[in-house]
Amino acid sequence: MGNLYGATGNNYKKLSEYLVAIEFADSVRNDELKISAIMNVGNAYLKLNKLDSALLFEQKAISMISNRAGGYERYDGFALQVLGRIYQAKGDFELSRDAYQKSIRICQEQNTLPGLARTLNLLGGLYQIIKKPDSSLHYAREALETARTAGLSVEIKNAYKLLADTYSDQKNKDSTLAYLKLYTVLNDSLNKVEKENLLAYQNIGFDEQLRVKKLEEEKIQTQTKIRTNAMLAGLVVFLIIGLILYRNYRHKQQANNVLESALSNLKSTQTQLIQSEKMASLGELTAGIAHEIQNPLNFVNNFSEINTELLDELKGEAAKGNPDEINSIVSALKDNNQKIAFHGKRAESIVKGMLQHSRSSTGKKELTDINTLTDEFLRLSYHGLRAKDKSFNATMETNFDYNINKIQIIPQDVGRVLLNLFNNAFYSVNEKKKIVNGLYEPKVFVSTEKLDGKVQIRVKDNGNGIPQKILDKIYHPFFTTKPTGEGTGLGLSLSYDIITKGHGGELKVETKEGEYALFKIILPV
Amino acid sequence: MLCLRLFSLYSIKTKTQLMKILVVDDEKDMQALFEQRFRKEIRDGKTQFVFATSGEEALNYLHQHNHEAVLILSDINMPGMTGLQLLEKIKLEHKAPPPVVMMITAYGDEENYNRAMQLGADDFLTKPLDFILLKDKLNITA
Repeated sequence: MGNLYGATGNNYKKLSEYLVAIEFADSVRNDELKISAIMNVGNAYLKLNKLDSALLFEQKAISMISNRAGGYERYDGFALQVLGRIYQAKGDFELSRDAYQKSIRICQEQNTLPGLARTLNLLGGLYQIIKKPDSSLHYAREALETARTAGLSVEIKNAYKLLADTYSDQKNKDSTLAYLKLYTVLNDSLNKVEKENLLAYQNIGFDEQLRVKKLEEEKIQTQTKIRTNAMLAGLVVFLIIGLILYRNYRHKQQANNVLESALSNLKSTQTQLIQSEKMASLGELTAGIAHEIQNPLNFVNNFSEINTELLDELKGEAAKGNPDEINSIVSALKDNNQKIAFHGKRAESIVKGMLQHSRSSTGKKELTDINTLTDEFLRLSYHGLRAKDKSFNATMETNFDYNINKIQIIPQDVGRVLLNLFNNAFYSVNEKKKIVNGLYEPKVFVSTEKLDGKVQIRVKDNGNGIPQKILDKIYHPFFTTKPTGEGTGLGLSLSYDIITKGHGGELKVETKEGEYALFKIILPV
Repeated sequence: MLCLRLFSLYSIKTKTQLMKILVVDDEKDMQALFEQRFRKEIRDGKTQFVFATSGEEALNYLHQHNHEAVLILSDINMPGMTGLQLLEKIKLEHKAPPPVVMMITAYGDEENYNRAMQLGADDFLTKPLDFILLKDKLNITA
């Protein structure tokens, strides 16, 4: 492109093209191209008559060529020629002549005839300027010869012109005229060719402009197409994302429905489990309760039978009129009646407790005597286990704090917690007894205590204790150490919920494996 | 068989002297009940009752009053020492003459019965106590 513009004389364009070429050569690390480009930049500056810049570039090109080994010397001839022209333009004729001569020598060595012809012409021209017509003629002739050998019309023309001019200087009219004629003929024909070339080039340029325009149009079209396609693609992507989101939403909704029904199933199962756990513990107690009821009922029956007998005796004594005997019988009747009433009430309270236990919790808090509740469930638990396991026995020690006033609790719920703790305590001492036997005395200690703004119930047993490794699992639902089928694993889990969530209290445990377990229920007053 | 043996045993005793019976039960009102049920026998000097509310108390009494009680009526299910443990101890410690021990329990199951018999119980009664039957067995009807 640079050469093309150079040929049409558009040196600014040529210059900028070559400068771009330098950068390009740099980027692809092509030294040959770079040297060529720098050389041509120098040439272009020369044509623009910017001599210092031209000199700078040309010297750089020459130094680069000499620094490179092999293959680049062919540029030397041209570079030196340009250098000569630069010096000539600057009026430094000696340096100019040296550069031309060096260029000629290199061109001769390398047999580059076009360069040689041109430089010979230039040197001849220089000698013509510095008024050395002989030298000028000598080089002009050599140039003409070389140009003719290589068939270089432009250089032949230049040689004719130089010869004509020099002969004109020497006032050699014949020779001048002869060469001028030759020059004119050749120049005309050359100009014609050049003009045709230029026209062709201009056409090329126009075509190229058209092509560029078309290309730009195509580019714009392509861009529009790309933009449209991108928008379409974006739309499709959004649509897909939308579909995916919609699908996810549907899935989520379905999953939610499934989860909701699963949750409600779970909740009803939980309610059933709690109820069955309650019934299971009630079942365990049934025999104990029966025993508990049977004893007072035996007393009621026996004492009422005795009273019937005593009343018959009383009738007899009354007939006899024996006042001492009558008094004695009456006081016995009174005592027995008190016992009937006492044991009747005892049976009643057991039934009441049992009903309370089996009834679903009303969830209502009511003022409750902690000591009575604790005692009642301790007995229920004890007799329950005793009824279940004939060999079972344990000593119960109670220490109730009678300074505790009635507190607001849900009695059924706290009763279940107590029952659970007592059952566990008795179970533990019984298990230990099976292993140890002999001197071991199974004991369960139950105490109540009034604390600052709180009430504490302690349930301690001297059983097996709880191993450290399972201590953090005891409140987990379904965790049980009992053999399969014996424990629901819900006892402590439910107890924990009842005390902490239901009553805002605390359920704490202290234990030493093989020695004891102590559960503390702490309830706010 | 057993009843016959008991019958003959008690008949001999009652003919010669007053019968001293030790009742062991953790229910305190058992004392009142026995005293009322046997008030005529007691009044007539046919029998005398001693009460203990635990196995330990019963053993203490037996140690202190050697061979005074000729008949022991014991509950099985009691806190602390059970009636069966008491039975075992009595039969081991008091060999000659061996006191008659009758077991009373609310849990009249086979296991308890077999265990009691194995340990040498002379009879096995279930609650509620049939006092007419008991008196019949003791042959001390008023």
